[in-house]
Order: sequence, then structure tokens, then C-alpha cells
Amino acid sequence: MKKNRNNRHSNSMNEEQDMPVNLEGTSSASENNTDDGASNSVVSSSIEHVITYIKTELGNPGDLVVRHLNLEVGLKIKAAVIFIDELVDSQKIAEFVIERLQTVPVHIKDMPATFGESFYFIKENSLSLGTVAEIENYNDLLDGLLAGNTAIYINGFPKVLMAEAIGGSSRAIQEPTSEVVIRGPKEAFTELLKTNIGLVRRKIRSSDLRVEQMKLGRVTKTPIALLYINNIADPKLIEEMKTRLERIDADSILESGQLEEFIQDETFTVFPQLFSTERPDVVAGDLLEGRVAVMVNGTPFTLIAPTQFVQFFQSPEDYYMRYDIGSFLRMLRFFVFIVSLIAPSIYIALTTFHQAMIPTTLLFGLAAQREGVPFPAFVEALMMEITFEILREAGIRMPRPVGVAVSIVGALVLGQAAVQAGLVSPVMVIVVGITAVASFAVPSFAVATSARLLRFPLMLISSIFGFYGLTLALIVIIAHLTSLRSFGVPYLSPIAPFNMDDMKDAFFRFPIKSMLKRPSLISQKNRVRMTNHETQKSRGE
Amino acid sequence: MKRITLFLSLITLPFLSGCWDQHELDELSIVMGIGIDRADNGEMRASFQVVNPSEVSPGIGGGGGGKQPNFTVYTSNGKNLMEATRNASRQTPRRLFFAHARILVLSEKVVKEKGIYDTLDMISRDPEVRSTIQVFIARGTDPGTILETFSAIDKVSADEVASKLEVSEKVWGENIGMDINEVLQSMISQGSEPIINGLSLRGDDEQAITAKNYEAGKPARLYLNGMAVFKHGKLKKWADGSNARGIVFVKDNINSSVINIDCEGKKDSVAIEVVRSKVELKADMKGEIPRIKVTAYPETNIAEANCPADFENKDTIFKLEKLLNKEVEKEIKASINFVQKQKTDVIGFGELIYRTDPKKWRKIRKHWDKTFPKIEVTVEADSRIRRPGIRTSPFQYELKNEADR
Repeated sequence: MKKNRNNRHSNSMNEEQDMPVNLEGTSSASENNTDDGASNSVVSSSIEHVITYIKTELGNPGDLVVRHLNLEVGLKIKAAVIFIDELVDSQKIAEFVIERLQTVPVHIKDMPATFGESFYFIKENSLSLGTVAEIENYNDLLDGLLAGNTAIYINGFPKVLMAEAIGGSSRAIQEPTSEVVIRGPKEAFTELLKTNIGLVRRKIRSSDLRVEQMKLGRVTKTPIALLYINNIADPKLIEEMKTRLERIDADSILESGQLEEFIQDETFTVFPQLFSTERPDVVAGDLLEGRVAVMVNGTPFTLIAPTQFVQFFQSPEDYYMRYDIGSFLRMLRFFVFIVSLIAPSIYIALTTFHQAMIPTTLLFGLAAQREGVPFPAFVEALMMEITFEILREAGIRMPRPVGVAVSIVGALVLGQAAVQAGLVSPVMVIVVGITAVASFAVPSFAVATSARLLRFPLMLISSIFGFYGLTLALIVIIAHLTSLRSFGVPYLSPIAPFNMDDMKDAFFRFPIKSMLKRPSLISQKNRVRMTNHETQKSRGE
Repeated sequence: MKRITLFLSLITLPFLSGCWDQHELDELSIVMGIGIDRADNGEMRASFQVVNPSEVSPGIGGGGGGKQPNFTVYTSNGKNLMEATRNASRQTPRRLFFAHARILVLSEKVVKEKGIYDTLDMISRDPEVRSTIQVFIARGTDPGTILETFSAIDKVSADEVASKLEVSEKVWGENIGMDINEVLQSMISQGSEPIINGLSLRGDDEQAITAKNYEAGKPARLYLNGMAVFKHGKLKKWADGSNARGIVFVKDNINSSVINIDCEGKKDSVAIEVVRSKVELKADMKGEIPRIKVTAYPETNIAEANCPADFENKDTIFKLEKLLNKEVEKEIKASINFVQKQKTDVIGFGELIYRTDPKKWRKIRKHWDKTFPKIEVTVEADSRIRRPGIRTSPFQYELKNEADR
């Protein structure tokens, strides 16, 4: 029944109601309530019992609000409005629940004669909220309350009305902080699942956009949404995603990062196998390519699967700017990734093994700088890299007011003074600086982190074996990348296995008109994105 | 416990600079020039010009500058070059590093008397030394002095000498770059002999090797001085001036040069700039002694004209071209005569004959020394004057016109 309602709502024009209706904790909660103490028994028909029960189960918390009401709906009724403060929109409750209950519509002639009748009378006539459900057992009652719903209990009838007036403080939609663009939408997801789904729905107004919800985490009962486009996404992929999600049996899912670890293909790798984004336009674009998205309540970061390595170098802006600059920037990002990965290793290998490869004049300069530096080039590089990592970590974690102090100490003392003190050579500072800036130019933080981690073993190897070792290590890394799969899709596709059509959107961004098909390994059946404008035009003329 | 020990030893690994083939930059003596000579007792004497990086690189290091020399020369003896090189370690504080060496200077006396053969193997065998190292012969001086001479513009004299050769090769054409590879190649290949650039010191010998040399107003300078013609590995004769350029011309190695021709009866009054040139060699195998035809196609510009000639008239240009042809032919002919007289085939006529008719070459080869001087060579030039620069007729022509009026 709920599903039907879902579809009906999504077809309606009203944007407010466009959001998926889900009485959180009413129906689906019964699926995973195996061990949480509360009994599955039917709600008592005595108001004292019910209230005592709720108070006992929840441990009589201070934020539980029980508002007793004496109503006159045909007959005199004791009623109670029960909710947990801060989870609900108290304005709505006061206006659309309590006020409506207290002002009985007198113009109706058939006033109820029994408690049961008045229960349904109230449900149908006295609550002006969009979503109201009836529930029968204590379990659903508690789950509903904890999910932020409002219980309306009518004395003498063994059912409870659950009205959705979820509120409480939440962050407004703001600009994305980790994926900034100059041109393109400036909205980012928030912590609220409802809002996030809405943001995607606003971009894809199709009845084929499917949103399936479930709850994960035995304790946290975190709402999770699986998004896909019905005719585009591969049904096998959706099935696989569902299976992997259902397999999770954990206490808590607090952030999509935790979920990612549960559903990724390979644990022992430094490369992210699921793409995460906080941008609705990225999610919309990926859904339209046939991928699926997983949203987790409580975090703005949405997971996208399957993921290809090249995705981490695609910025949404590539598609909003002209294709030429888009292609240039994309190639630049691949280059920058390589720089951030191997720049210090190249420096170490060149200066300790392959001095013959350095131009003579530069060699004089480098040799002069090395003069008086007490450590081998590797140790020198390691010290500077670690220093930079410390600075970066401090920069992220430190309280804002001390930020200035850290940057002064970092830039002046560690850069300038380390050189003057003869700890490191000036060119080392340049190498570390280039590496640092390069790692920030990679659009995806996740893949920049992989480069950051791999940098150190690569430095060690090139300090022992020079370019020979570095080349071998890079071959191993590429072999490893080739072996990775994300939901069955080769991680390095479309490079390996090679696909000419998909290459249009890998290292380059071809003109949109030329990208007629969706990625071949992702959407299996419905692959045509658009008709060929050129042929159409020539036919028309 | 074992794991901890392993871990700790792995951590200490990078600090121990014991890795094979690994050398930090400050553990290297960068050799820029190598000199090979013989000591009085007949042993090999090697000199190495080693750079002092902190003096050479701008703005870095010791500060002050001038307190230490830009480079220093180590000299050591040994029975062969390898022994001499390793023997030098008694003087050098760091390992000698040869990958950036740009010049190899051989002693004139040694290559004249003992020959070049014993000096080249190690240089071409050592993986560090590049095959692009330029070979020179110290003419009228010894390799040690050449390497010790302080230079005025570049900080390292070996660097400066190599650059001098590059520039002169491009604009003057009396010398061509001969790296170790080319020298060996021309020695090994059938019917050809090497020519090697000469390097001389002009000025005060005593002052040249002191730091004062680059402070002096008139410093002693190294300059390229002809090319040495070899025969069976020994220096036979020096080819100078037009002889040297003629050889370079025939070998088709001219990049650019200047040729003077007469104009309006005024001797050498027009300077013609050769911008590119192509030379065709053809061997005529009929007859017992092969005949060779040399055709040169120089393309030129008028660079200077100190005569009243009308360059707007195409007949004037044709006339100049004819004169130029003659001049080129004369020069090439003279240089071929010169090498034939020395009985050494530096141009590679033997190779040409071998390529044209290998069977016949096998017959000639045995008495090539005798045949080579007898070869009849005809030289022809077909030159083109393309551009007169940014003015057409010389102002002297306009002066003459004014006077006539």
C-alpha cells in the first residue's frame, strides 16, 4: 500500500508532496526489531497504561512531551498527544494537531458515538497534516516516536494515530564545501535524507526515478535510500546493491563512509571503490548514466556505484564549460595526480641514482644546495613530506582561532627556517610544495588521499632502486588498479578493457552532441542518450 | 619480538647510504673535462677538471663567491687510463662522476708519436661517460694547461670550450663537432680516417692558470685552432683555415659560413653568407683507379657588399653566383689536394667507393694508401644567391649613380 502511495505522490504536481512519504518507523521497522526489548503486543486501550508503558520503555526522558487533552467529539474523550521534543516541529503540532483537536467541527451532524468511531473521526476530520497512519502495537509506537513522529492517543481504543510533523533544527541547503565549482549549481546535500531525495527529484522529474528506502543499523535504525532510474539502471546492479545492503548486520551506520566499507568489493586497497559526492547534480548525472546512488540519513555524502577510476577526475564543471577547456582541465588533473604521486620519488631517484639525467647547469645548482645537508635525499624528502602532512592535518582539525598561528609557524618556520638551518635543501621545499599543491588540484579528495598514501612507499622504493624500482612499483600499482572491480565493472574501464566510445568521456570531454551513448559497462540495455543531431538535421533538410 | 626487530631494521635502512649505485649529490665530484697525456716515464697521465658546484651555481651556497675557485684540476698517473683515474682518488675528496664531462683533450705530442688508440677504449667503455663527449687535441700546449685555464664568461672552461665549438660549427665552419663516437666510427669504418679539432691557448700561459686570468683585461684564451688529420691512428698534419673548411664542405657538414668574392674588380669585396649547403659525391668505377665527382649546392645570402654593383639586376646576381661557384670549387679542390698529399682519407672516399662497388673496393683496399692520392676528383659547384638582406643594392652603387648624374 505504501508503495502505491509513493508513486501517486511522485506523479502529483505538488512539490511539497513530491517527497516520498514514509512514516518512519511504522511499517518497515517491524522487519528488524528482533531484539529491542519492546514487545510486539497490541496497544492497550487505557491511556494510563499507554503513557506508563512509553515512559518506562524510554526511561522517562526529559524531552518526552505528553500533552493531555480533554476532547468533546460526540462524547467526552481523554486524549494525549505524545512526541519527543526537538525531533518534531512544535509549531505544526500546536497549529495542526492540538488546535484542531480542541476545536471540534460542530457543523458535522454524525458525531461519533463510540471511542472507535471518534478515533476514525479524529483521523479523518481533525488532523490537518499530510501523513497520518494508524498503528496497533507498542513497537511501532516507540519507533515512530523516536523517528520524530507524533502519537495521538484516544482513550478507550487500542490504536494510535501517528502524524508526521518531523522538524527540529537542521542545516539549510548550502554551497558544497568539498566540490566547489565556478559554473554550475551551488547547492549541496544536507544531513536530512528527505531534503536530499527532494534535491535529486527536483533535477530528474521522471516517474522512472525510483527511491527505495530501508533502515540499517540495529541500534541507530538509520534511514537509507537507494536511488536509480528504472529503465536505465541495470536490474542486476540494483539487485546486487540491495543484496549487499541487506547483508549488513551492524549496530550503527552513522555516515556513508561506514556503509561504503560494508558494500565495497575489495577491502585491502588504497583506492576508493565507491564515488561519494555532496552535489545533487553529480548524483543526477550519474543516475542518468545508469548508476545507482545510496543516500544515508545524517550525512550529505551520497555513494554512487559502480565507480570507475576516471570518475574521480571528472568535475561536474567539465560538462558545464565548453568541451575544449573541459578536456584540457581533465588532462591536467590526470597529470596533476601523477605529479602528486611521484614528484618526490622522481627527485630522489634523479639525485641519488640518475645524476646523468639532470641538465648540467641544474645539476650544479642541486649539488650546491645539497652541500651541507646532513641527511640522504630520501630522509630529507621524508621529513618535509611528513611535516607537510602534519601541517595539513593540523590545518583541518585545529580550532579556527589558532589557525593564523599554525600557518605562520608552518610557512615561515618550517619552510624558510629549515632551509636556513641546513636541514633541507631549498629545492626540496619546491618539490614538496609542488606535490602538495598538486594533491589539492585533484577534484576528488578520496583519490587524492590514495596518492598521498602511495607516495611514501614509492619514495622508499626509489631511494633503494632508483627509476628501476619506481617503474616496477608503478607497474604493480597499474596491475592492482586493473584487478579492481566496482560492482562488477572493471575499475580502469574504459581504459582497460578499452572502449572507444567511452573514451570520449575519459581523458577528454568530447562535445556533448558526440556522446550519443551511455557508458557501455554501466547501462546495459538502454544505451542511447540522444539522437544524432547532425544526421537528423541532414534528414530534415 | 622478531617482527619488531625486523621493523626497526627496516626503518633504519634509509639512513644507511649503503645502497649499491646510490650516491648523494654531495658525494660526487662532477668532472667536466678529461685530459690525457703521458708522463715523462711513459705512464698515462690523466687530468680531471672538477666543478665546485657552490661557486658555479648562482645565488646559492657559500656566499661571497670568489673565495674558492670555480673548478679544480686533479692530475694523476697510471699504467693505463683506468689506473690513473682510480689513482686520482688519493687527491679527490669525492667520487669522480663522469656523466657530465663535455670535453676530452688529448696531448698533441702523444697522438703524434704514440697514436690515439690506447686512450680511447676506457672512455668509450665506461657507462658513465657520454658518447657525446667532444674530443679535442691540445695544439701547442698540453691537456693539463687547457683544463686549468680559467675562463672569462662561462664559469667552467670545459663548458665554455664545448660551447665555442657549437657556435663556431654553426656560423664559421672550420671545425665540426667530433664526439668520441664519431672518432671511433671513422677509425673503424673502412676507408676513412678521423679528423679532430685542435684547441690552443692564446695569451700568457702563466696567467691563464691563475684566478687572475678572468680578472685581467686581456685574459689568456682557449680557441679552436684547425683540425688534426690522422693516419693510422697518428696525427699526420694540421688542416687550417680554408683547408679545414674545404674538408668540412666536402663532408657536407657546413651549417653556415662566409665566403668572399670579387665584385666590380674589387677583390673580396662581397661577403656571401652560406645558409645551407648540400654536397653530392659520386664515384665512377670505370677504369682501374676510380674517379670521384663532387657537386656542391650552397644556398647563400649576400651579407656584405662594399662595391657599387646593381643587385636589382639579375645579371649581376648571376655573375656573383658564377664567381661564388669558382670560389667554392677552388676551396674544395685545394682541400682535397691537401688530404691527398697527406695520403689520409679523412673525407671518406674509401667508404664511398665501398658503398658503390664493394667488390672493387676489396681489391683496392689493400693498396688504398697508394691509390687514394691518385684518385681524380672533379669538383663542381652550383650555388644560389637567395636574398640580399634588408637592402637591395649597396649604398656605394647609389653613390655612384648620384655622381654619374
